[in-house]
Amino acid sequence: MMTLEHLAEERQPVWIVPAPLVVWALHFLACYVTAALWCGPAVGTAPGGAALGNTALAGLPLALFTIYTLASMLALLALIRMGYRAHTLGDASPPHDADSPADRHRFIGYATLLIAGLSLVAVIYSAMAVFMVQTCQ
Amino acid sequence: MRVQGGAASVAACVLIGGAAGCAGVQSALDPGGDEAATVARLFWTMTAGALVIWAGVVALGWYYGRPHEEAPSPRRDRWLILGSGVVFPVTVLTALLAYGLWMLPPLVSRAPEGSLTVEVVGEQWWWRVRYLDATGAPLVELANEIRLPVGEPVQFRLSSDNVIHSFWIPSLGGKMDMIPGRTTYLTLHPTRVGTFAGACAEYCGTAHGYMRFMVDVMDPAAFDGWLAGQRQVAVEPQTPETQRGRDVLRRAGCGACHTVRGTSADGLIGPDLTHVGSRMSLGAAGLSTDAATLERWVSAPERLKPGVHMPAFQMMGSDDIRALAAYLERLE
Repeated sequence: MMTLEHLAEERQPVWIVPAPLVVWALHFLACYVTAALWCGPAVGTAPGGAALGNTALAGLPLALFTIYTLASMLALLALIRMGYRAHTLGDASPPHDADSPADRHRFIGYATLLIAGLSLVAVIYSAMAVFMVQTCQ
Repeated sequence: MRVQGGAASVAACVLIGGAAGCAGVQSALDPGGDEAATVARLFWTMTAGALVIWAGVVALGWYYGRPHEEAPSPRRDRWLILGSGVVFPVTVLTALLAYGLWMLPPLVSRAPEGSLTVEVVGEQWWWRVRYLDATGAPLVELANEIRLPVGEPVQFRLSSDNVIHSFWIPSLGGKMDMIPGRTTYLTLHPTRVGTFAGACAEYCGTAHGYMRFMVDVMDPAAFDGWLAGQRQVAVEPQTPETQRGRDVLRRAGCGACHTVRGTSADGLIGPDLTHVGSRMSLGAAGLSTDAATLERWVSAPERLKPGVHMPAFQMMGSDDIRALAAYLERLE
């Protein structure tokens, strides 16, 4: 049976700590690029004042934003769960600063949990902007 | 006592100086339109909220700064930190973001079909203003001045063919960028008769600070009368001096850049001068349109507006310049 002392970093890789930030960045980039591609051709004005091209972020881009947001939130919830499980391993409370493999494991989990929580809030804020404004203006 | 008196003077100056921004022709806190009222409401809501939060933080600091006899409670402290450091800020920021985003769509939505449409083009460094008919064709062109009927929506079509400008009438609504290669739109609903000031809100070059304009919100009947007057061609000069001024305008080549409808001057580079004498200001710089200022402007515009693209015409001679200024002043 595995003991707490066997939990070296190789069983809890460090890349998990910045992973939530990467999810946040990808969500932002995907929303930004989609909006830019959809709204970009809306240049010029037809006689009578109507704009040429797309002026509303509705239909296809909105469906894409929904997919990006749900996928990002699922990934972040999974990272929150992984972080929480590592953070609550055994019987210890923060700051997890003992020089032991178990505390390193808990510390990485705790950091992941906090960063994933922040990233989840950030993704929700980006999504709010997209879903509440819905215009290329 | 002297220190207290000094502190009171400083506080009075800050209050009076701050209060000066609460009213006036260019104050976002003295709304004359629906959109500006929305922005002002957001400002006051945030100010009140910030004061409440500030008082709460000071109260917490005062409470925890006092000596306590009871044993510390790590559990309570942890919840306090989590609550006031994470849950509360996230809740407040989420509410503010939702409120701000909820305000945006009406600000950028289009005016109803058939509304007054005004095209404004950002030039360096002045505003070309065109009133359009229902088909989008220009009815009349003027510069650095916009007149609007009170109580009616107005659709602005904004563009630029040089650099990015930003069109802002703080008392009537939020600002909107004018981006080369794009047309942007702004809808405003003026609710109060009055004169307001607008400005370029995006640094656009040397004379950016002199890129201002005036907005006159009028009764609809007065507006219709004004627009009909603007559609008339320039008045014929009646006196020998103004007739000489008209001849100077023709001879000196002013028509290469300026239009005076009803004459041979049909240039499109500079502002339309057909009714320049009736405008509220000159050169987008808040200058008067009287003959003396017009004379100084024609002689050496650079002195009145550093960076202006119009060349000086001092070589014409003072008599010709005076006659030209008299003619322009009479173009009402």
